Amino acid sequence: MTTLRRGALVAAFALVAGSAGAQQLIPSPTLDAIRARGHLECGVHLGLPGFSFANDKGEWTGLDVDYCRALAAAVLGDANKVRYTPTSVQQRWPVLQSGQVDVLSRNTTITYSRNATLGVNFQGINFYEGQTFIVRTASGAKKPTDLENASICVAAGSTEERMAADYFRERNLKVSIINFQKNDDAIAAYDAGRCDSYTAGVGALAGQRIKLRNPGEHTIMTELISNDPQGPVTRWGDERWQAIVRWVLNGMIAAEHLGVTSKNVDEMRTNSRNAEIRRLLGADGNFGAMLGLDNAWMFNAIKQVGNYSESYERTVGKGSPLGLERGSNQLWTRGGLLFTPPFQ
Amino acid sequence: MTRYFYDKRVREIFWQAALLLGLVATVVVIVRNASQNMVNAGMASGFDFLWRTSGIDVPFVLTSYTPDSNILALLWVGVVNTLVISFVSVVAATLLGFVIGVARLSANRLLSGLAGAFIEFVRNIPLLFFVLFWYFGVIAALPGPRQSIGIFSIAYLNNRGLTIPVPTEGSAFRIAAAVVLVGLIAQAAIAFWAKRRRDATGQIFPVWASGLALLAALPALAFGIAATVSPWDVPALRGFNFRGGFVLVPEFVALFAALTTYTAGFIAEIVRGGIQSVVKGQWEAAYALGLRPNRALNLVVIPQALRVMIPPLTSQYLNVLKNSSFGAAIAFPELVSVFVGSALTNTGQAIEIIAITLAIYLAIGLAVSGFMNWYNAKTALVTR
Amino acid sequence: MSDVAAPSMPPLLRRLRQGYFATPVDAVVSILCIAAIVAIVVPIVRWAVIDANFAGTTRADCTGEGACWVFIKARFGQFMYGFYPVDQRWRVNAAGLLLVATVCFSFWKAMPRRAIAVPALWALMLLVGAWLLAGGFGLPRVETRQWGGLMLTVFLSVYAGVLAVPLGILLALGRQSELPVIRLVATIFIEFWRGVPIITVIFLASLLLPLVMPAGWDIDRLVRALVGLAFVIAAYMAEAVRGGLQAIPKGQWEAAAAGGLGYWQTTGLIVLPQALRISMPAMTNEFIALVKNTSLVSIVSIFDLLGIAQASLADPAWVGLNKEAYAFAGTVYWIICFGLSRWSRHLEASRKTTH
Repeated sequence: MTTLRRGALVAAFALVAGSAGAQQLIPSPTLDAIRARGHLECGVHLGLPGFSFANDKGEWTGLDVDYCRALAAAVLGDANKVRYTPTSVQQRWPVLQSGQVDVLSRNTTITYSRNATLGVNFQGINFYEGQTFIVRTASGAKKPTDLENASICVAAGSTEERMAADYFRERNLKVSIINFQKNDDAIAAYDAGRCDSYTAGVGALAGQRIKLRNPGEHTIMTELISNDPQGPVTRWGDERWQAIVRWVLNGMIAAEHLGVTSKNVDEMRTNSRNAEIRRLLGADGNFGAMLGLDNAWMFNAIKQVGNYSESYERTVGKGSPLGLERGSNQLWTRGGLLFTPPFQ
Repeated sequence: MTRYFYDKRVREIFWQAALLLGLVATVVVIVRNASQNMVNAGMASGFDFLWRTSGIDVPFVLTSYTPDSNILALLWVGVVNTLVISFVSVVAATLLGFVIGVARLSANRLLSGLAGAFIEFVRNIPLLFFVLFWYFGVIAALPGPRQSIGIFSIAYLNNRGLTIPVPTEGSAFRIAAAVVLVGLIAQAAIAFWAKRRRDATGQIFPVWASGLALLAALPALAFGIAATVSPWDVPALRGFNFRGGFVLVPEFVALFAALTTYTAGFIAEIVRGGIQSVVKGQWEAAYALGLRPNRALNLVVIPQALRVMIPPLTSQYLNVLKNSSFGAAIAFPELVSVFVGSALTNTGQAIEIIAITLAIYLAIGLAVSGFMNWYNAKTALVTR
Repeated sequence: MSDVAAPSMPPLLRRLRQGYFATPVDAVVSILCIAAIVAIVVPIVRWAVIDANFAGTTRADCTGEGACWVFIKARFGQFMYGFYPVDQRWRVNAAGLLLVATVCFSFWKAMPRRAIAVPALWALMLLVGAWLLAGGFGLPRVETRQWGGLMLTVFLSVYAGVLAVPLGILLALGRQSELPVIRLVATIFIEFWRGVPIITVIFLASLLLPLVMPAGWDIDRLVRALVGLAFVIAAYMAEAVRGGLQAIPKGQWEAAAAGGLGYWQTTGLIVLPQALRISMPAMTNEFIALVKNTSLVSIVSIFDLLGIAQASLADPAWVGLNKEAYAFAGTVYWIICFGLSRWSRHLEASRKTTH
């Protein structure tokens, strides 16, 4: 009796293992489409230094752009096989919903109602943003509540637009909120003196400040009025593609946690004795193949783009004109919020 | 059988049926695609969103809207702002256009040249440039709130707009408005009667005199009394900006200035063409009948020129209505800006929102062209 | 002495006096006009020429109080071609030459079978032009998202404008048709597109069209904007053509019908050629409106001339040069539209003299 039961259990295991080995994956139309066209379609911001910004030759750089590049490296083996679609605040949703982009990586805040009504899923957090205000240093305003009676420029349809209105209404402070169709118009109007303040996330403000005529005359407040976690977004359906999007981001964070960088990734793959590193880089197991990718998926991503820390420092951190601290975007082991489930 | 094919009537019915069928099929395919795509994508649909709380702060509100109102109220704010900016721009552009159009016909070549340069300048540059030029120009030219230009210490002009006092209690003003309306109707009745009498007897009644009394003196008196008896909310500097009163935001001023100057360039050309279309013989005939020049202009030339001018003027007025949507580029909260801008991204219901917006523009446009057609038919009837 | 002086005044001075200072009112008006001209022209010339910077390559070279044209010089390629690959820009130039050649050929009065040859030539030009710009068939592909600047403005104007002509003619004929269903459909189509702001049409094309396409269909976003613009301009063109059709006396139709010609033969051979000649100035004016309205695509982040000017302002290396970018882009628009309006007026004048 017991042997018979055990035999059945073994047979069931064999069946499960066999099906995994035979790569009987659920179909992923998005992945097939990317492979067929030979490049990834990535929706990005119109132009936010540090996150996604095109120089005068049309070359894109930034934290959100780096994620697209890593995803392309993981899926197609080449970080340069990405085409960017710059989108405004309004355009980002239709562009994603209608399938014009495979993924939206556009410092977009994760919210409940977006998840529930827009038919989009948020696949993790690549930047913990928090909304605050930039003001002229000469105005003397130090914290958000100092802004009573102020005019505040903001991009229409952003989470910041409603958050700022809610914040001051709750405190019974009267402000005048001016809604622009594009972030660049809002920042230009602030710079021209139309508004006392411009509101956005801390990271976005650091990026936008570079565009001001005299960046040194402006201060970004340190008090945050909201938490705006941001990360890559996909549309509903095609769960395998959603998993790929999620785990490439996790892989970049895991690589930092495990000490794998673009410099040492070759050496790590051959010499590391850490089991998780070996699985992540495809030296052991078939982690790439489980999702229908090459086993060198994260190896390619890290080799060509780098781990999270490298990307952060290069684009928005100390190695960039934005000069942001890691803050909440530090690893969970070092007092930050950045976290990844294990590669097991 | 072939006889039917060559029958003209059969062929006509066939082609019309084919067109109709094709259109119906297209609409069906579009609706099916849209609903299927939305179901697949898990997107919300329907018009329930109109009753959701908007949560959006709008800087230029003429209704009782607050961020706690629903999205329908937000839509109404957009409609009202679109109508207001269009109306004031149409009035100003017509006046400016008439002045420039007449100046273009001046014998003084410096004046006509200057008018011509203005016309050629504004007609050949996209409106978007003027909107941006006026917006950033207005902001740059005005001082900050603390260095405001005070006007009799009750109104203040700065780069946040023109802050003017408003009455906190409006009943006196409503009575004044009613009085003005009565005056307007009385003047219209007098004009109608004077015209009938002139047509019948040739006697001329000084309509301008009663007009001055009923349309200028009476409103001034009525509003003057209302202003003195009403309590006022006078703006005062507090913190960053003026508190109290009503703010005419720079976005409004910039859009108004851009629409006015741009449209005036087109209206000037219509006015010039209209006056030129009245042949010289008409002037001479009017003089021969013993009419003085201003009477000749008023009674003979203008009515005829107007007949030529009204159709193109109508399309310019409709253009102003449509061009008010350029306010979206400078954050003026008109229909496109608040509805297709803010509301669309907050709700994600692109199809419903764009359909409502298009329907509103079509409805307003239809009303305006209906009115202008009626006016056109009337002037055409009277002058012939 | 004075009696002698007046007639011996130089003719130029005399003309000046008669023309501008004949009466006191005239004199006041003239002086005011001169003051206005000085007040407008002098600051502009000072800013744009006298105090301006022309030499140099970076932001640091902008030292004067006036305009910094160094910026325009540094960004000139981008203003003209957008992000079009530098080594492929000859293709844009070739397409531009092709356009100029087609326009010139259209004026060749002695061309054999002109009524068929001119439309065929334009159709060919559109095809070859699209091939040159987009690539394929031997040329490397250039994605439309790399297009931009003046090239994109001209592309949108020419393609939307030329596609709108046949559509507009069909709509105008439909609106004049005796068949009620066709008349109704054409009227609704025309009045719909004429009644809505172009901004909403561009939003419609950019946000809505993708949602009503079958799943998996992906129309290039530039093509979507192009189709939206073409529909609007076709509705306006239809009204221009209708004006021409209404100017043709009914007798022409009746004579043609008596001669045994069918509807399409009468329309194509007799009515349309005359109607189009009459409506040509109005159609040119609609085309000018189209050129100006292409600037609205910058709102949905397609980088036409105005869009690229705005985008270049966001470059941290060149902050604070708004005036220069807008002045340059505005001047380019003005030259194009002014040239076209002169041409339209020339057409109208020549028509009036020949009739």
